[in-house]
Amino acid sequence: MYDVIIIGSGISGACIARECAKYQMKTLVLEKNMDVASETTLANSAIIHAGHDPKPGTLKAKFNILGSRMYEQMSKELDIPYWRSGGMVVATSKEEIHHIEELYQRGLENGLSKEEISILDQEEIRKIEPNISDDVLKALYLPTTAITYPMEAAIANLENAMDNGVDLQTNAEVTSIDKEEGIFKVHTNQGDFQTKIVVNAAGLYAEKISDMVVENYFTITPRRGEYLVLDKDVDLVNHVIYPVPSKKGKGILATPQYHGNVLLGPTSEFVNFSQSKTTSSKGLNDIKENIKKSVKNIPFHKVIRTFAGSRPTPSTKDFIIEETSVKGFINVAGIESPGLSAAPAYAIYVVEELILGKHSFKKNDDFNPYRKKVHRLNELSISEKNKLFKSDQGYGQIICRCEQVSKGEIIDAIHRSAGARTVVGVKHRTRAGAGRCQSGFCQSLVAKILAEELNIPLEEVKYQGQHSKIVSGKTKGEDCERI
Amino acid sequence: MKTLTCIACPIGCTLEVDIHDNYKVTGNQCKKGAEFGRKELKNPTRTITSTVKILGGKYARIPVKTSDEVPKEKIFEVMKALNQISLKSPVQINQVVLKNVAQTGVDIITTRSM
Amino acid sequence: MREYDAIVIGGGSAGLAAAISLHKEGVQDILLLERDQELGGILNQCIHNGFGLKVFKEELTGPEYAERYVNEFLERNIPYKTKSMVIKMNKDRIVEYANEEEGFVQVKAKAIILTTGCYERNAGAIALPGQRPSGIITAGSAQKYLNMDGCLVGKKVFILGSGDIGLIMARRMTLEGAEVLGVAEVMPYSGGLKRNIVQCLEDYDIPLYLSHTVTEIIGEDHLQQIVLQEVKDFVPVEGTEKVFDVDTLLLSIGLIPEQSLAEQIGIALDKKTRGPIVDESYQTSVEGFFACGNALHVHDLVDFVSKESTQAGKAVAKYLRKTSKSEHAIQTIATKGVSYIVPQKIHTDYDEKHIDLFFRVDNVYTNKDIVLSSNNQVIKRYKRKHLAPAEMEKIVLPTSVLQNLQGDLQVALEVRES
Repeated sequence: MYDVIIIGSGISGACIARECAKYQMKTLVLEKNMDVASETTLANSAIIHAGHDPKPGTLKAKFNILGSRMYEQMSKELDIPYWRSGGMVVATSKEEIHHIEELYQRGLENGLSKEEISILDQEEIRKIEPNISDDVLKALYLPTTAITYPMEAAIANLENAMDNGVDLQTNAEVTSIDKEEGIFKVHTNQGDFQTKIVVNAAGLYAEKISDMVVENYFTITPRRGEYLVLDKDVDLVNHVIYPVPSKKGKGILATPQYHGNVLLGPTSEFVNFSQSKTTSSKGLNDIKENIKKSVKNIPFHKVIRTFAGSRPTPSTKDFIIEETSVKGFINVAGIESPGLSAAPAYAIYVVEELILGKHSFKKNDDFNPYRKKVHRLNELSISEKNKLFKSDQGYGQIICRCEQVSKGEIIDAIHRSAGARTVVGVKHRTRAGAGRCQSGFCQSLVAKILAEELNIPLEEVKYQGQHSKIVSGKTKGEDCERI
Repeated sequence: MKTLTCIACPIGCTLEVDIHDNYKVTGNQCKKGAEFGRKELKNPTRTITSTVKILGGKYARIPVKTSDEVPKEKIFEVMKALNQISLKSPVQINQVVLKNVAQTGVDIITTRSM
Repeated sequence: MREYDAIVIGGGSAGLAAAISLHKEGVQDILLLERDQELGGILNQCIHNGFGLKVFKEELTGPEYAERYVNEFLERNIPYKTKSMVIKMNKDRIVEYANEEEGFVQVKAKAIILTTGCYERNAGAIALPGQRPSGIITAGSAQKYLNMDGCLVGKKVFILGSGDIGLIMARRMTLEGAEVLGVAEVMPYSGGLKRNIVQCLEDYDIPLYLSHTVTEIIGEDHLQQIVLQEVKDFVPVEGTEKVFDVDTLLLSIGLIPEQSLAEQIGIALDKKTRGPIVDESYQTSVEGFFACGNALHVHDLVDFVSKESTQAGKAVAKYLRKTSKSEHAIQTIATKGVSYIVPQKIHTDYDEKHIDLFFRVDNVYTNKDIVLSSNNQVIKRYKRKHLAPAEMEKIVLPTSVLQNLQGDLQVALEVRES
């Protein structure tokens, strides 16, 4: 019997799990995929927005600034990549200048200080962004805009939560939920679990989960965004470059990433669930056409990857973070932008207001906010690397050439709480396979390490999903002869 | 007149073979081409390169080839025979691992040591 | 810090030939660093034949060719390390490598030879639309799983790209029990040797779809289907979509020189070859750094790799002996019909009798002349019956031709009507 079951291990579920771990709540996180945080959290721009953009008075506005201000501390405790790159919203016409002046006022209203939001002129912009398009006249400068690595942020929160007592069950898809005498029975394909409180943080599937308990009161529609990823040596932009936002959203950005790549995108398009992670040639071309408005000299021949993900866009146009009419059933739904930025803040709200407001739980005095340091060899000096090597020879065997990831780092990523179970899981925790050859060299090596560490044959190692084997089988067997 | 590509070497000359004139070959740049043109239409043969199972070696498979060309229609019969072989390391390069594969009179030899 | 005369990065065909050549020239203080568990490079997985016709006058399989060079290398007792990955280098010719025995080690050399081979272009680089399931893999990676680990990556295969690797794998997968449904090639001509079209596709009734490409990937966890479409001027033609039920898409869409180390120190790269710009000694734009083999420009025949690398080894030996060098160099310029030329620069005090010029053409041509000219004056002509982008060409140029060049510092290759 659990006190809290959280459905979904994306950035919402992960941050909420960590907050639950600070109290003596017996908590379980249910994740339907093989790996955590593999849906919306995996595929977005990785930006911690300053908070200038959401409409004042909304939950988005309230939690964006609060959340983004918590990231620096969280990144230190949880060893999460965090880089304050700064950002700017660029205006290319008189109308757009008017728009960014409105955004300036909105930012102040939302709580940004005058040091955190200002307007730059042509010269000032080009001093810090030489590749800004010639059409850009003015820009709204947001120095507190930062970049993280969202999946790692979620994993780190979950790992810390698990190290502090929270349980995680992957491959567990919730099929139905009953409530009887104040207890919820959550049915999954991995068995049934009982709990007093359910937190629905199921992202794209939050409406589906909510409808299992409460009469439908919102819809979630996948709003797909496609991206182009540029190689690491591209020296394109130093800040997050936003166009002026429209009804469709923040627009197509150029975003430098923590590890040195540049993301171009996302597009914005309502799609069916089956298309939520699909890229299209139209979408990828839209990115190429639209980004030129803000940035010039883009080396499109340096694209190394494309991907797509979908925001769970709510019919309510704002976050849905509330206890429903069914006591103990809490919805954390419609978490589109600025969800990543806001998560640490609304996670505290969910636990301290929505849960502790109605139920009493003692504090967990043994809560350790720090997770074990993650060794990233390509960030260390040679003597630091050799120090690590002395503790474990595996750090001396380089597996991924492009990103310079060692065997020791991969094995560590597999064995930590909320550890990697798949090839893509290893990639997202260590960067092995994320470089320009896109695992051409290292995939078989990573697969073999997974096979050894998980004690499974190579033929059972998965790429990403449950039905995604790397190899179909061994040759010279009975089924290898042609008729 | 039949047109075909010679595969005797990487150049790949386009050959014309007159089946009504004693399989005379034109378009070849060397003797091998003339031989190939004739043979390809009368009794085509191929060299097969593949791998066989090996235990205790650096890898799970060791590369092998047919010591000479075999009739084209016997390719899959040869593969079936290869699939039955299991070697034990150490093995030398050019070691015969199967004699007279699929009754072709040709042997299977390794192409590396392991 | 240990300083060597020469460090060779990569122990495949190029590295082995360069090291042997260096050693033959009397350079003993060599260190060769190889990341794999054994020497030989990519040839170890190329179990098919077609290698060695020029160097050994026999047709060998990849492993047989490799073993000859490996044996000579070992017989000479040239120092080397396997399972050792070079991760950094700097302009002072300090190289950092790592392995499980020593950890991270820095070594220095008077000359560094980059023989790091090449890597395969992948799905991300061509922005293949659709989902991102398992089952999409480069042909070389599939070849490694098959020939070394004995694992088939799938049973129902489609291949994108008609380069030799794709054609070889079409045959290979078929022999080992898979069904290969077709090979698609975006150009109107195949990227591979004609002999491979015959012995890899026609022999097994595998259809070749020229002027076609894959325009969609379908499958959530694992690949289920691909959509094949005809293209006109690289644009997919509406209404020509064909859906194939497959579990594997092999990509054979190009090889790119592996030069991330060169990029670390700003070595100038040729936009066409994507390898370093070199002179007649195979020296790059940074003093003391040399490149040869696939790391310099992607070859079709390993025989040329060995010959080029043997030359490079000789040149490095000379470099280690020489004290001064002429600054005066002429550029080789690829014009009409020619994609690129290696080397891109030739110093006029080059004292060998001949110089090898390697180049590729940009289309399929028959009965053309290769014309060398300078300052609009024709210097030499070479006749060629057949030229194709997939077949690297070589001209052996007498160096005397370069001595008397006046004024214009350009040597241009043109493909003109004969």
